[in-house]
This record gives sequence, C-alpha cells and structure tokens, in this order.
Amino acid sequence: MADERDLEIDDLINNLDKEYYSAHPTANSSYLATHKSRDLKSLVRLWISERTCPDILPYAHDLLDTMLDRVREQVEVIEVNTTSGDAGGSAKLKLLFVETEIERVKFLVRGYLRARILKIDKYYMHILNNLDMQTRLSQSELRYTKRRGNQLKRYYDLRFLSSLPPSLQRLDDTAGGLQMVDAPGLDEVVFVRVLQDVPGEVDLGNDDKIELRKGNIYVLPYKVIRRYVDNGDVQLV
Amino acid sequence: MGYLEHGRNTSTDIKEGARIELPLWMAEILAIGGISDELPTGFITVSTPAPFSNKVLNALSADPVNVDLRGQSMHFYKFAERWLAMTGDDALLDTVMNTFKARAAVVNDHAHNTRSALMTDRSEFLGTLDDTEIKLFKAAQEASKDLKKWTSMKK
Amino acid sequence: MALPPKQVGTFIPSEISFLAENSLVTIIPRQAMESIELIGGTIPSMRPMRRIEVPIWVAVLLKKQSRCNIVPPDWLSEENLKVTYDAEAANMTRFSANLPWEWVEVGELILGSAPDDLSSPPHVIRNLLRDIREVRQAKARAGLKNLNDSYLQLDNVGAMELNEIRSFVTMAMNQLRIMQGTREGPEQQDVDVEPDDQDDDDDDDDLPRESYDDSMRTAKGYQDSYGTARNSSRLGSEFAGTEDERASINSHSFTKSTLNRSRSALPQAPSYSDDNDDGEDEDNDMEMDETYLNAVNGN
Repeated sequence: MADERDLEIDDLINNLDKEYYSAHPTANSSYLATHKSRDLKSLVRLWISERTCPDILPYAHDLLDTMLDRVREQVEVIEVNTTSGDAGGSAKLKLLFVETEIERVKFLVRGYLRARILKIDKYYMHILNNLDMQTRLSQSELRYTKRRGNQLKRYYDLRFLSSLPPSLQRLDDTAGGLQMVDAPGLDEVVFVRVLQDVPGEVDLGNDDKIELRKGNIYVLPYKVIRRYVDNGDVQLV
Repeated sequence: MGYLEHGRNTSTDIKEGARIELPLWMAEILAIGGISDELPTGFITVSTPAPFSNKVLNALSADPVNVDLRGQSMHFYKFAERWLAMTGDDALLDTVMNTFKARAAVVNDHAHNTRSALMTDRSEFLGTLDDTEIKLFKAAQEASKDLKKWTSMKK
Repeated sequence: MALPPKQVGTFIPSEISFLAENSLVTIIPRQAMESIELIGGTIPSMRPMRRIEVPIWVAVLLKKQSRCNIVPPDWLSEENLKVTYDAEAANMTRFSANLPWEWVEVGELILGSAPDDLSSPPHVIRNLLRDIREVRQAKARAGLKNLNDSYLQLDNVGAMELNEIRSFVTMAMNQLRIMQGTREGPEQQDVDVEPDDQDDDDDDDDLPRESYDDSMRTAKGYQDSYGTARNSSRLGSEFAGTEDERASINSHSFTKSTLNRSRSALPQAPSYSDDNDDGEDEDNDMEMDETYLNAVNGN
C-alpha cells in the first residue's frame, strides 16, 4: 500500500515535469531548467494542495526528505563561508540569497506539516479506525495520532465517561442520527484548475455535466474531481 | 407522559389530541411509527414549526432579503436541514435554498461594503441574519479586510 | 502547532504574494555576479546589461542592492493595461484572458520594489491596476448572485481574486449542498406531518417549485456566461497551467534585511512566520522525529 502511494506521488511529480516542459519548451540553462526547481515546485504544490484539500493527502516522504537534505546542505554552505572569514561584499550577497531561500523553503515545509497536523487533530479517531488513512501519514504523524487518541481517551474517561454505564462510554457512537467520529468532508467544494484537456464530460452526479479544458477554473465538490486531481489532469488552487 | 410539558403536574398524562411544543429531536423520536405492532403510527403527529409555516414561506418567496430570518429562528438553516431530513418536503427545500442564495449575495455585498449594499440598511439587514449567515458574513468580511490591509502595506 | 483557524482552507494575502514571488521576471544586471546554487535552482552568473530570468524574490533583493533593473512584464505596460481595462469593461460576465494568474501580486510587487523601472509614471500604472481590479470585482460579485450547489466556473480569475472570495464561496456552496442533500434521502419517511392550516391559501404550494426552476436556469446561465473562451486565443494562457507553481515572500520583511548591516557573521535574511500565529498551540505533546520537529519549528 505504501509503495502504491509512493508511486502516486512519483506520478504527480512526473506530471509536474511534463507540465513544466510543455509550458517552457525552450527552457535550458536558465533558473528553471533543473530538477531542483521541479522539486521546489512540487513542494509549493503540496503545500497548496494540503491547505485546500478537505482530505488528508498521502505524505510526500521522498520529496520532504530531499528538501530537508538540501536545506541541511545549504546551512553547511553558510557555516563554511562564515567561518572561513573572507566575507567580502559578494560573498555576503551570496549568503543573503542562500539564507533567504532557506527561510522560504522552511516556510513551505512548516506550512505543509502544520496543515496536516490540523486535519490529523480533527480526524484522529477516523484515522485510528481506518487503515487507508493511516497509510497516508508519516511514521511520526501516525505515532502522534495514536498518542493523541490515547490521551484524549484517558482525559474523557477521567472527566466523565467513567461515571456513565459502559454501554454509553463509546466515543465512536452513531446513535441519534449523529456521527461522533469526524471524517474529512469529501463532499465539500474545492477550487481547481485544469492542466490538460480531459476528453468527454465529467458527470457531477446530479444532472450537471462539465467539460475539463486546459485553463478552466472550477469550484466543485472534491469527491467528483478527486480522480483528476490524483492523476494530475487538474490541480487544487 | 405529562412531564414532557413544562410546569405541568407530571402525574397527569397528555391527552390524545393535545397540542404541545417539543424540541425537534424529541418530536422526531416520538413521531416515528412502527416501533411495535400496537403503535403503527407513532405517538404524535408533528405540526409544521412556525419558521416553516406558509405565512413565512410566502414572505420568503416574495422578498427573501427583507424577512427577519433571525426573528424566525437563530438557527433557521440548521433547523431547516433537520426538519427537511425528517419530512423530505421538496417545496420547502426549494424555498429555503432560494432564500439562502438570494440573501447570501446581499450578505456578500455588505461584507465588501459595496455601493449596491447601500440600498439596504446595513445594521437593520445584519440584524436579520441567522447564525449560518452571520458566519458567512464574517468570513467574507475578513477576507475583504485582509486584502485591503495587505494592499495598503504594499504602498 | 496547527494552523490558526483563519488560515484553514484558505490563504492570507501575504501567503498568496509569497507564492507569486517564485514566478520569474527578467532583470538587467548592473554588476557582475557569480552564479549561486540554491535549493530550488541556480541563479545564473550575471554580467552587466545581459538579461536573465530570475524568481521575483531574487529580483527584488537585487533591486534593493541597486544591482539590477527589473523589466516589467508586457501586460504591466500602460498601453496593455488600457487595452485590458477596455476588454474587462466590454464584457461584464467574463474575466478577460489578458492577465496572468498572479497579476494582482506581481503588480504590487513590481510597483513596490521597482517603480522607477516602469515605462510610465507609477501612479498611472497603479490607477489602471485599481480600475481593472474594481471592474473585475464587480463581475465576481455579480457572478456570486448565481450561487448554486453544483459548481461554479471562474476562468481567468486571478490567484488573489480567487482567494478573496474563497471562504465565502466555499461556505455558501457547502451549505447549499447540505440542504440539497436532504432532497435525495430523507432519513425517515414515516413521520406524519400535519398540514399547516394556520393560514391556508393553498395555491402557494406551487410557488416555491417555480422559483426553484428559475434558479436552476440562472445557475446554467452563469455557467454559460463564465464559460471559457474555448477557441479564442488567450494572452494569459501560458500562465494558466504553470505559473501558480511559482511561489513568494512577505516583501515587507525585505525591509528588515540589509546587506550592509555591521554584523560579524551574516546579513540578516528575512524571516518567515505565519502571520496569524497566536503561539498558544505550542504545548502539544508531540513525539516527532528530529527532522520533523526541526522543520515544524523552523530550526
């Protein structure tokens, strides 16, 4: 399962690649022509997607590892250059760019992880009851979720559950037509942009059908557009 | 069952045919029929709550923006959701949805302080919003303020 | 540690601007500089007067050091903005395709950091941008009068414009969807409802049905009117699929960074923080990998 997820992420990244090179056919020796810029774009995309998607998306292990490695390398560059002492004007300028960019990348990584934690906090019980959800989390996120579940359970027990009869102590009850376990609202609407034409029409599940043509921007329920987000035909914006 | 009614002597039963007010959740349970063979129709018949009476619905169909929705119910739309889930009354649903759409547009105008918003009295209109609409207003207003703040910082 | 509630499901303007700062702009270097290896690419070596493309955040930093001039994008010229304004005003049901995805942010960034590099007086450009904003805002609001529970089409909307209406549209459409959901499956069919006989002028049962049909028509009308100019060539189309990948920085934080500060070690780089962090969520008991923690805490 985890392998499958990784493959999906690879697909997504490959799509970004296609998308980039089709938009910049002549790009070569410029700033953008490197795998590095592709990775940064992927990170930006991840951040946007995680912030705007009602569901928890698969954790991007490889990309995060790569980016954090590069941050570490750049921090070393700064250390080497500052301890060597010959910080002339141009060396200082260079370090300004390096340091500024590190901050920018950390801002994205932090934002990405924080957006995930927000959803994990909200849906922890759903995650704990759902193996598919668990495969989308990183090891540390999953550990965090389990600890949080245990802590809240202990807390509720202490506060009031222990004074109720056992049959009323469950935290995942569905009696009274109300769900106690909060799950991501896949029916909620998202904003998307179409990256490449999709043949035919997409059935929205009611009487409406829409076409997905490159450049279109739609607001529609996540559940009807999800598969096109997953395969890279559209992106969350 | 007399205890269901406020301030009544709890030892007397409610007579068949009496009209009482109950919370929606309780009415829902008591109205379900077929619990046992002796009770094929449920304990009670529910009458339409005041916010969804024909009188209110007519007013909403005629001029949704000028109805004091909050005066009908602080949780008009949430109440409507539960009621509609019980009754499946499509005509009512249509009215409620059209009401929401028409008022949401005006809520948005007021949140952005537009010229067209001046056509309705601001504080008067805002006073008629139900809780769902207030949330909507706050979200739109916050986005508008944030953007103005950002733009003025850039200058 | 989680996000402040205000930023749930949406962005604040400085974040949208941060993203725009990753988009590329052409600069004319005034001094030579060696190439610099960065995490997200390489800033090419610079020679005076030889044009190169760099991310806007790099251009803005260089400009602050008087080491380059920024070449404003074509769409930001007085002449093109006038054409765009006319195009916007000529069709009140559709956004023109003359502007790039991050036009609001890029306009502000260049006006703010390189007003002297514009070919027209800055206030002329600023006024044109403001006029275009207003006419487009009016269109967006008119479009929102036709909200429905199915979908909205907003082709050629800008990133900042989209973000401005995001919370409202999301909440309103979700609410409509919840209500519409009660149509498909009432939870219980067997609740007897007594007819409302308090004021029984009974032909009004038909009224809501009519207005419902009406609303569906307007919903369709909206889709049509906001539909893409599918066959028309769009100036902005090269931006459509790719430019939003490019991200940015709170440019006000640039003002804090000065290269020539007398500081033994390093020039102070801008620090990025989440604007609305109220700091009260720091005490989460989290057991996380070191890298994870470092990333989250920004160390």
